[in-house]
Amino acid sequence: MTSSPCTISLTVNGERHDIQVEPRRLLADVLREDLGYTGTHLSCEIGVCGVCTILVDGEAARSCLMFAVQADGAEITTVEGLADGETLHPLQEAFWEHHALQCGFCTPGFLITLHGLFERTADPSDEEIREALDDVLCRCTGYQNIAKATFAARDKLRLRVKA
Amino acid sequence: MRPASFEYVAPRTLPEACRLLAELGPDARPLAGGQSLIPAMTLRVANPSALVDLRHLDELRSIAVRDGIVSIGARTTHSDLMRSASLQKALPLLPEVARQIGHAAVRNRGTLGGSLANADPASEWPAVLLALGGRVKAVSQRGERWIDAEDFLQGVFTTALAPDEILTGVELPVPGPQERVCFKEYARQTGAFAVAIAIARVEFEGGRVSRAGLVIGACGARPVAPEVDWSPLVGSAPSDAAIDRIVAEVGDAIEPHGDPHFSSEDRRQIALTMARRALTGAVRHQP
Repeated sequence: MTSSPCTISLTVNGERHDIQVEPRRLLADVLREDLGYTGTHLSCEIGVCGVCTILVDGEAARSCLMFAVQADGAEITTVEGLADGETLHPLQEAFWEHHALQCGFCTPGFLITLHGLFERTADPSDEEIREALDDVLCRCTGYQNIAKATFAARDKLRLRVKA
Repeated sequence: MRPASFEYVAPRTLPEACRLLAELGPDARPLAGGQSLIPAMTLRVANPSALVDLRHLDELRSIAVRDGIVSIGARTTHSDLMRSASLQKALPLLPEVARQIGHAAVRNRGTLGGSLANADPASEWPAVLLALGGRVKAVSQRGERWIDAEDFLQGVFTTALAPDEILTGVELPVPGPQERVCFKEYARQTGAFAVAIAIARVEFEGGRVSRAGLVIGACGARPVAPEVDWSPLVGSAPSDAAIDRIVAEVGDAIEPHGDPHFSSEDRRQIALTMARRALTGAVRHQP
């Protein structure tokens, strides 16, 4: 049984990478090991916990539930793509200010999931935010500060749009 | 663990996909969203020799409503169904069910066709297919055919699809204006696999129930319509007492499986609660 490497093109956080990967390679592993984007974490490896969440063509996806070859030609956003140089994304700032992380292992999963939510829904309701928090497992914080941080980020972004 | 090696092709047309699936042999599988297949391969409980990726077949991602039939392409994602304005109008049951599947990231890639072809007993779409009396379209190099829900759903992860067939679409008849359909599901967490699913369907005529049906899912190898005596409910105005009598019979008519989380008896009780809620919900909004 052979599975010859395929040449694929992944654009990650605006940067294009042309690489050779075996079809069996998971997108999460290719991002982390082949391309060095280790901000995307792995825990359950079967799509339950959400820490591996990335954006594929603007939509949230579990990178452990994709083969890299399925992402050929796609635009991928990882947590490394949120900050603008030294300037943190409003979500990252809010997480910092509101103590929305302890060990930080789930944090990239939350940031990308919530970034995806804000991209899709400009002004999500509290309910929509709480529903989105269901998508990622956090064992440290108890979620309250993550919710507070997200409400604060939303309010900050709301002000920006008005200005 | 990580998936074992496999051959990978990503054809550009459906005929090409059918040809490749046939050529690659009986252990080749189509790949749609991969939200069920990939974790199974990561755990090595599924080890296909080859995958035929359907990602370029855009024509399989579609939603149409015409002449009382909802036609959905197999590659339509759960998110597509959740967000469809035309379905919210014509068959809101589908967006309602889609919302309860997994998490957003899974809904963005998981597909209706993939879910049906996978036939996980704990999944929602097979029960919906049976409750609405739908059918699926199967295409291969040998031709195409339609398979009714009852014939399609055969058992645990088992459908009537031949190894060289691709499920390309689903047709669901829209319930009539005098019908009410109510879906209830119990799961331990949001987005977790269902422990029990109940879909009640009730038709009214002049304030009385003229017809009623129930599908129970996630209790056994495949969704079933339990054989019960509907006469307490049919022919009269609906009542809690009538529903109680039906539910009591449902308990004996299903064979729920047990697993490490729920014994078969616990699952039966939960199914009965869902059945009661579904029937009550269906009659509450009578036309």
